[in-house]
Amino acid sequence: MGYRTLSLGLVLRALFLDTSAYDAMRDDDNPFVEGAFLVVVVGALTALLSLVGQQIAWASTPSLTAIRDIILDVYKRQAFWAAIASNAQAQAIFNSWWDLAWRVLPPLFGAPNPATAALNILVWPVLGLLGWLIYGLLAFGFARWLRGAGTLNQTLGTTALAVSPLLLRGLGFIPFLTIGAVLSTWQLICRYKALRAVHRLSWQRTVWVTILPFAAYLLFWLLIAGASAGVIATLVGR
Amino acid sequence: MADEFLGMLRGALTFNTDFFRRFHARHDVFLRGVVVVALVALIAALPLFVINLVNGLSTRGGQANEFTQQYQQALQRMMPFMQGVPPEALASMNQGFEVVSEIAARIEALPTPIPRPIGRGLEALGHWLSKPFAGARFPLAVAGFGTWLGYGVLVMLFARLLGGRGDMAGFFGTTSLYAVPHLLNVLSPVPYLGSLIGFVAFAWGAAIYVKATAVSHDITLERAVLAALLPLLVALTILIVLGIGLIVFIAIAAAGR
Repeated sequence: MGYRTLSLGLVLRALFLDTSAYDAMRDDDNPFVEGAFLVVVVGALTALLSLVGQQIAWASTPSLTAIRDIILDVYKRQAFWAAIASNAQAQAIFNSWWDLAWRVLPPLFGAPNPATAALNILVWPVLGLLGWLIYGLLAFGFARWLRGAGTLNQTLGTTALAVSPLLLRGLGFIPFLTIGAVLSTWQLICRYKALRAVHRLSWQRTVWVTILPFAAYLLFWLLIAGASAGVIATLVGR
Repeated sequence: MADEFLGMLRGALTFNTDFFRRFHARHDVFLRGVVVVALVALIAALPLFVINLVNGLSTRGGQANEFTQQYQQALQRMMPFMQGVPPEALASMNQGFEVVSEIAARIEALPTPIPRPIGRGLEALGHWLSKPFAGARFPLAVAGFGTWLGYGVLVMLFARLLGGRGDMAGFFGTTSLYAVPHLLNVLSPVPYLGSLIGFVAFAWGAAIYVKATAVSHDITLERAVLAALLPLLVALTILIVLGIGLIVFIAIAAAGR
């Protein structure tokens, strides 16, 4: 059994940009295994804590069905409702849009949802693993292209430390807390530190290695969107 | 601890170079930066939190009436500017307000598993604790992780391109001191004075940010000003070019019809 480098102290040092934390992970005998473990634990633990916050927020908010009924009741007493009620087609269109709006809008505006939060206990670790592996592989490819010295094992292990800012999602146990997009920026900074520690490239090259995987994502999604548009255009043109 | 905190406030607010150098040299400078930004954001938002908490914990029986009164007073104040508005439009506006008021009052009366005052107190607490994570409408306009790290990444890049030698932890840790003048934002709920104080805090904070950039990267103040401004200038240039491109495109499309 290999030596265990991973500890809460190491993760916190990585979170606060301590270079020695990234160096320690790079020099571990199997950084990949420790990285994978960290990604899964951070995902599951923070999802579990967020579930607590979502449950409390849900218990502090009136039922969405009751809110929906109140608004519909008030609408039905307005002058415009007579025109809708007298036309079966207009009523059907209104009902479909009304149902769609109540499915789409509440999650967009952050309505508490304990069911989704419970599902996140599985979803966050899986998405975390996928994101980590794809980013790590791409970053390793670009680093080697730019003559980086690190191995794939080291790249994956150290970039796993960049999930440390996601620990702040654990504050989600506080109901109504909003964290926003800042964690992505923090993760980007940690990824730069990780890649610099592993590949020992100049700072300019490390910046490219850090951001090129995102350019690759963008290109991939643009290609998918272009291909989808092409398929739809062909189908419609038939 | 308190002495250290006060010393930090004094050193940052008076642009004391020795203090900036000592702060930058600390091994835990980034951790300290996180604490500074979070503490300032929370202290600045404290009065608003207390107001929201008191409002939330008190019963809201008279709130609908109070809201209606406020609407009617606002309408009275706007009347001189609304002379040309047709009476039907005014009636429609009033009816819209009544509809919204009724919906709000009925939702407010709905039961919740946790008693409403406790729920509202928790809501106020959650919103207050979210303040360090809140974004800013303009770079460095508030004390928050979003603008500090988000804008900082770009400033770091430009500072390096301008010959800076600072590392990530040292740069971010030292520039966190820009947040200190934002303590003045505790006065933000004061009418009229609040926005003026906000501007003073922003200008003071921006000056500290430039000083911190110069110290952490060991570059001249002129270069630090350039590094701090370039991300904004580049973003503005891109926006202007895109805007002109859009106008030209629309003009060509319109001419081709």
